[in-house]
Amino acid sequence: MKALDWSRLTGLRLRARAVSDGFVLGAHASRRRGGGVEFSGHRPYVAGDDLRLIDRRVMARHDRPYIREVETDTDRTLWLVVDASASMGWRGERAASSKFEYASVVAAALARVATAGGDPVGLTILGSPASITRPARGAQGFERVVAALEATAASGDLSADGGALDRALFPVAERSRAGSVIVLLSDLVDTHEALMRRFLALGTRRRTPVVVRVLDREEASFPFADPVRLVAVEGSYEIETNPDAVRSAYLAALAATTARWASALVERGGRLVEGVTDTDPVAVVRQTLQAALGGVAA
Amino acid sequence: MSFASALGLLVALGVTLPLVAHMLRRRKTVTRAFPPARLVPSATPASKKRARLEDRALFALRTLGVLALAVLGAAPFVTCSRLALDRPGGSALAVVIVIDDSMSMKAKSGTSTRFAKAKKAAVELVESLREGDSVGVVAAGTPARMLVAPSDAHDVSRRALLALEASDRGTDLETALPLAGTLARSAHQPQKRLVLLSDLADGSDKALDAPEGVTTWTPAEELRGREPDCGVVRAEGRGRDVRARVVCGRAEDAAGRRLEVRGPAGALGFVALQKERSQDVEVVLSDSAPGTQLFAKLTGSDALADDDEAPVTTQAGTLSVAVVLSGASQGGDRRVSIVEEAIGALDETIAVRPLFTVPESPEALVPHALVILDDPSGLVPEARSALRAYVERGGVAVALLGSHAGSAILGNTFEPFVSGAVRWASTAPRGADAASVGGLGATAIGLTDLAPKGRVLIEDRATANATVLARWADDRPLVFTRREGRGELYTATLGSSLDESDFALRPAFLEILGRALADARSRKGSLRASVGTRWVVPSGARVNGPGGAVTVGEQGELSPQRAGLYAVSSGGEVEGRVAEIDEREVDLTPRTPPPRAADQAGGANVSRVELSPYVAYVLLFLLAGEAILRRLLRDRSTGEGAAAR
Repeated sequence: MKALDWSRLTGLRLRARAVSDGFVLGAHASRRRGGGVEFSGHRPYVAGDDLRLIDRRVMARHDRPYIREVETDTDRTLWLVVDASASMGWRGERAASSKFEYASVVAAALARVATAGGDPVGLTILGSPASITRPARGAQGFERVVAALEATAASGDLSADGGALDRALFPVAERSRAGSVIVLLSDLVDTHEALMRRFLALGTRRRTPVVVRVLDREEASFPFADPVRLVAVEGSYEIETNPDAVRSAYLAALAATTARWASALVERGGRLVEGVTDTDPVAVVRQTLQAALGGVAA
Repeated sequence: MSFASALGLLVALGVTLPLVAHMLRRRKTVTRAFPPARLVPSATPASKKRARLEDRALFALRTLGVLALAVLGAAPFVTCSRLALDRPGGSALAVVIVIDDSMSMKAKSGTSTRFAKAKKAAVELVESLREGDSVGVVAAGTPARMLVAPSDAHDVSRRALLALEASDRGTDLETALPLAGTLARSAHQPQKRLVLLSDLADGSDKALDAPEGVTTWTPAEELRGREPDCGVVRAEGRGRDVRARVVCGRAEDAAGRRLEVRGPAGALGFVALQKERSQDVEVVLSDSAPGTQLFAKLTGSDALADDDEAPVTTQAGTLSVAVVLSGASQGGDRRVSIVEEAIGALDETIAVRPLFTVPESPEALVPHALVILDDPSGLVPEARSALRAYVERGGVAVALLGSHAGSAILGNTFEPFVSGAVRWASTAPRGADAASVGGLGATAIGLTDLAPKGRVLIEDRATANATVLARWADDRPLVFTRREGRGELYTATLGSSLDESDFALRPAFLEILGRALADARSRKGSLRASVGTRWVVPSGARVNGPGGAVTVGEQGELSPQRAGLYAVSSGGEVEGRVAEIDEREVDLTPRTPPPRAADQAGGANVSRVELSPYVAYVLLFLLAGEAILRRLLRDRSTGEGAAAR
């Protein structure tokens, strides 16, 4: 398949719609009519509320009408955590887009799918500085996410900013309710141990952690031939190496990190999805939805 | 350009081209960003493996070999400039090297010092001499001295030069050049050369004269330069005041600098210097810090760092001379006796103490370095005993016997100066014997026409074991000295009274007192003396100076090489002495050198030394090195092959 030049497309909204078309319809069996109902609290009645939702027992006790609020299974907040560190801004010599641009398309597409299904979407940018977009439903939710992604440039060194991960992920842990789906889009490079520890901590309270690992083709295949001095984008690290001699070892190390993430995610009911920037993001979005919805959209 | 030269250059080109081709062909390692670089294992690139150490060593050896071959071919163009002497007609040379080891030679010159450069040049000169040449070495630091007499044992001179160190002495070119000229003229070689390696900075502005009959060469122009310098000549403490003498080469050298007095805890006071060449400054200390050694130090930096600091001595350290006045010298309208005036003329820093009788205990004489008896009328037994004890312990005494000698009362004698009868004669020869006064220098010739009104006659046995410095025309002793214990006794058979003669007005009189004074300085602990001055300390004494322990001769003599504080330990007592710099050394302005050798027949010059033989040796060495290395590599590869199988 021919790689799409995502960076040449004019708008993230158009790209998101193009990617998400086909998933919007049928993502959920029904809206707010799921089989499971979970009580979440009472609030005073206001004009316009459905009279069927008034809790009569409470009204009898307090002599005032109260509305019984419930959470249905279909109300699953989608939290998007997008890595915007410097390594995500890197692109290989032949790549059409950077990893961040690719991840943004996938994130926006996921946001569109979620909002079209009536689910609120929140966004946190994992970078320096971190930024939070509170969950919102409908077109407003989608617009907020897209606007935040468009306003972000991938930069910053997460390895040098020890508090960046906490600043980005703590609000998610605090605000995400049970049943939320948390999708991390990152290359899992440089800070992957610390990131794994903190992100997997979110996989509790029936929250589903999903990780989309975005790599460049050069990272995925290590195509170099001549002696090369490789310089890490984040942190001060460089190494001089002979690519032919170390290619298999590098790929094995890359696969090992992937396997560690995958097994850790599975333990918490999540899943790892891999994407390379020269491939069609539709497949990535599909696999992510499968992981988030437990195969409903498959 | 000869054929060999062109060939050599071609070979050099032949080396360069493959090297350039290799550099162009060699692939350079590309640096690129790669986020997961930490997952990439390290591996030595193949291009580096090809350039392992042994290969590079072999390559370097071969390259050097070919380069050496090229240099060998181009030898007429590749020469090395170094000092060497021309020898017209190829005749043998008699060379005397005058090397300046004075303090000014410690001045910085590029990355080293003037002295280091002069020493290197001198060694080069000695090494360039041929069999049959003779070489001698004279050091021009005060006092000028011959280190090695001219001889054909070149290695002796070379070793002497290598062992010579820079000192804080003054410069004595006026003596060194005539001395070197005499040494060169005494050699039998037809060509006589004097090589002067000096900065010519001795404080004088007169042009130097070259010794006659010797070709004088003053190479190494880089040794001479007018660099800024200031120095602390001396510093004396008086309670909480420290007075110091500071001298600069030029008045502007003092600008922005100040003199600080420092103790172990830091600066105790300071004063800013005026823009003057020489100045006596006074620093009032914030804390007297009794019992601690203080130093006067100049702030800032200049060409000569060694003269920027001097120890602070107490005023009691000033050399003291006691003058025992006779009745005649006390009388009259003269407020100061002529002997006191003469001592003051010799050295204004000396403290002259007039006494009216000779003390009767040696302890009373100990503070004085020199005791002068001006026309005494005999000595009582107690005074004789005290004087003898004083001299035996290292004191120096002078007796100027005049007319009062004839009126000595019963029981008074002139021992230890003169034993036996002493009487005054109202007649005397016209003057001294001209042949006998040569030891007192050129000015002593004036003693030949003294025409005194009388003189003292002594018995012949009085001059037993004595050195007669001057005799009367009738061969009787006029001035003689005798050693007594560790001290010295000077006796003159003519007094200083102007009523008897004009002896005290003659330059020779000052010369005699000057000698006694120098003897006193060397023996009796002048606390302050110039660097290079001969000191005599008790046998077995230990002396520690600024540079550590100082070697003392068998007779207790030593010559301080560095300025600063010296501690003389003997018999459980420690005496402090100070070696001062010569203030003329602070002025680094060079004198005009003697006429250039180029203007004289057979003058010396800077020679170009052919490198061909040395390059050939290097080439042979490289070839041998390559053979050994190839053998080692072959053995290693054989071993690795066997291991692989």
